[in-house]
Amino acid sequence: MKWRTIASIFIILQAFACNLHSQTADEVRSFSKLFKPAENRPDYSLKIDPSNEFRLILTGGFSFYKTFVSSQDGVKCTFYPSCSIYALNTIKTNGLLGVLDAIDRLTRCNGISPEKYHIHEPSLRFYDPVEKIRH
Amino acid sequence: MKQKVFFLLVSLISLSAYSPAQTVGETRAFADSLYTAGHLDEALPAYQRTAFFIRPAVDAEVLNRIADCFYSGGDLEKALEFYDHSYFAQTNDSIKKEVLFRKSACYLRSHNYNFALMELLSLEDSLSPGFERKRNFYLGMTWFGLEDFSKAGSYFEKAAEDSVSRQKIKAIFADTRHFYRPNPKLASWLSIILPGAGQIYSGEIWSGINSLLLTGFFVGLGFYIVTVTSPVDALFTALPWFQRYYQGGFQRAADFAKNKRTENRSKIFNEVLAVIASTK
Amino acid sequence: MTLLKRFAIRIRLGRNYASIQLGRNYASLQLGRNYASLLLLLLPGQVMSQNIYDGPHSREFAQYLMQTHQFQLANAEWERVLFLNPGDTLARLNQLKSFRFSQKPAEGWQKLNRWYPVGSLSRPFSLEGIQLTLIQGDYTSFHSVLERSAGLTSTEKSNYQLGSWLLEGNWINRPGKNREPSFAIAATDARLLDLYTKTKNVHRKSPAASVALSAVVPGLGKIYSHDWKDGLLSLLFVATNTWQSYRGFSKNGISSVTGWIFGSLAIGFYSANLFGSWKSANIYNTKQVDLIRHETEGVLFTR
Repeated sequence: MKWRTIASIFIILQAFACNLHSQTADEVRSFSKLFKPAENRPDYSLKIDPSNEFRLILTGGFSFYKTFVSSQDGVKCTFYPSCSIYALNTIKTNGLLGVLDAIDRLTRCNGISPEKYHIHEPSLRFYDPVEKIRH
Repeated sequence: MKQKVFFLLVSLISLSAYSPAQTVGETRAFADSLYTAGHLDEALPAYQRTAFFIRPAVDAEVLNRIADCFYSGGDLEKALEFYDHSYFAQTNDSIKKEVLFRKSACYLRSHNYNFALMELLSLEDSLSPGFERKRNFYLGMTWFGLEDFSKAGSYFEKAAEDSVSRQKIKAIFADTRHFYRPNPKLASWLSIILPGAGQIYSGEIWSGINSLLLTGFFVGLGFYIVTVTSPVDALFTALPWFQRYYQGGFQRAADFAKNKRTENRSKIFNEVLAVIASTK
Repeated sequence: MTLLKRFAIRIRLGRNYASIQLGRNYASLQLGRNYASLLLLLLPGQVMSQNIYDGPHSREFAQYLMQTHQFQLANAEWERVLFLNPGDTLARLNQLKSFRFSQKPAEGWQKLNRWYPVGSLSRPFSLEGIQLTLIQGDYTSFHSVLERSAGLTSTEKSNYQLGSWLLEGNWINRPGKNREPSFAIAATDARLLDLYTKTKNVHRKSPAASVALSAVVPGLGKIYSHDWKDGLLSLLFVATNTWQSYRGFSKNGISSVTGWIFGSLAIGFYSANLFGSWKSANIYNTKQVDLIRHETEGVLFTR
């Protein structure tokens, strides 16, 4: 009886010793990314494509522009994707007609016709994606 | 003989009553085993099933674990919803407090610092030492998010368990000016005065040099056009481009400074976490 | 101790008898030979909780998941129900709905074809099949569903045919009388007929005409396509570059650098404007089709 009593008391004490409200080191460390700045991953590639001269000039020019010129541009394009990325993609998709499409995009990049476009949710800009031109 | 045959038949029928079936209890046990093993995404449907089939009864622990599963999966909205249900279903005071801390954590992670503050201030004034330190830690994070760094520092100090840690934290928060550096407004003004200066001040040296060269190019182009043709031509050709990259330069300088400041704050915060975690 | 004795359950098994006694004198049950053993052996089985993964429970849980819009989880539950009872038509129908509501109409359509590859379709499955095919824009499959549907009246079929005609959007390329399909006469849905009437008032913009207009006056083609703001800007771009080029050439002759630069820009913007005018006419036509399409979707696609 005595041992049973001692064992019962011990078990009860252990239960209370299981400190529900103690904070562990893991819990503290779990907040390590709380104030980390959001990662700004670009939606384009600066890789130069040397497969042929045309692609070399196109991708090389784009990389140069994005690295040395566009990086200093504070005014964000009205559209998503931006005009330079649009130009790159439309020329890749549509060839020579893509060149005309890219120049036309520059004349449209003004924000005075919001009724024409949907909003791209993540960037809150007008959504104007590249489309394959069907003759 | 007849009796033996009858007993045999009855035994066979009875065995079918013992055939494997997953009851509420077994589902719950299965969910618990997954939860304990850390497979919260797999435990979630099992807990949801348990909660559904024990209706109208409510199991506070099941609700709490469903909330934990959502929290772990990053669905903070659903986690908050279930922590709320769990809070009102709980009878244990300590667990209720834990749930409040979990809710605060949800608000902190979704950067709703004011809501986190509301939850923490709803705790009673006198708490056990463990809870008190936990509350101080959470309040420290909340005030850090609200950018009141002196208050954050005082709460982090109270959250530390020993005097050495408290001294370290005090030293980190002694001069709160470094939380505001680099200053985006100062970076912007520096770039207005001299293109590129703001970027260099923010630590982006190559971007600063790039900005200086680019704006310098358009200034040079403008002067060249003025001398070769006329000022009107320079006005229509070089000036718009100069304006674009000059304005872009000081806007970028402010953005760089803001990002750098956020990174610095994150580093300081992680130093504080390391100090507090080392005492646990 | 008295309390324990009061509620003690004693089970006695003898050679020729079995008995259950509850407490001392409060309740006791003396049973005969065979029936007692039956009761004793089955009692634990009856006391055991129900299996919540069986057909009825899975169905109940699946319906709850549908009501709470957790369609992906509901899909898995319906899969379990069908595994336990493959011929359950209600479960099949609900699984198709869960595919539709979780934005997976293609998978739903595949399932439907697997269950009913040939032969006629009952009304609920016809309706579901119609929605699954129309959502995907698979009009060929839609027509095959319509042909196989046994539970739809001819009026309903005409309504759906009109709906698919409006959704497909080819009506814009058909001038005048070719915009009067035969099933429009038999259709009775007032909303669809109203939309059909609207299509008759839609005037298609000719991309060729738009290009021709822009060739004469830059930007005029875009204005023709109701894109007057961009049209005016295009005119401004071409005009200012042309003017600058003219100024350059008139000042310094053919060797003028600015003349050539602005001249090239003017030609570039002019050519791009021709392309842009063609594109704006097509965009206008697509927009008219989309307006009708969205309203038709509101009529046809149900919960």
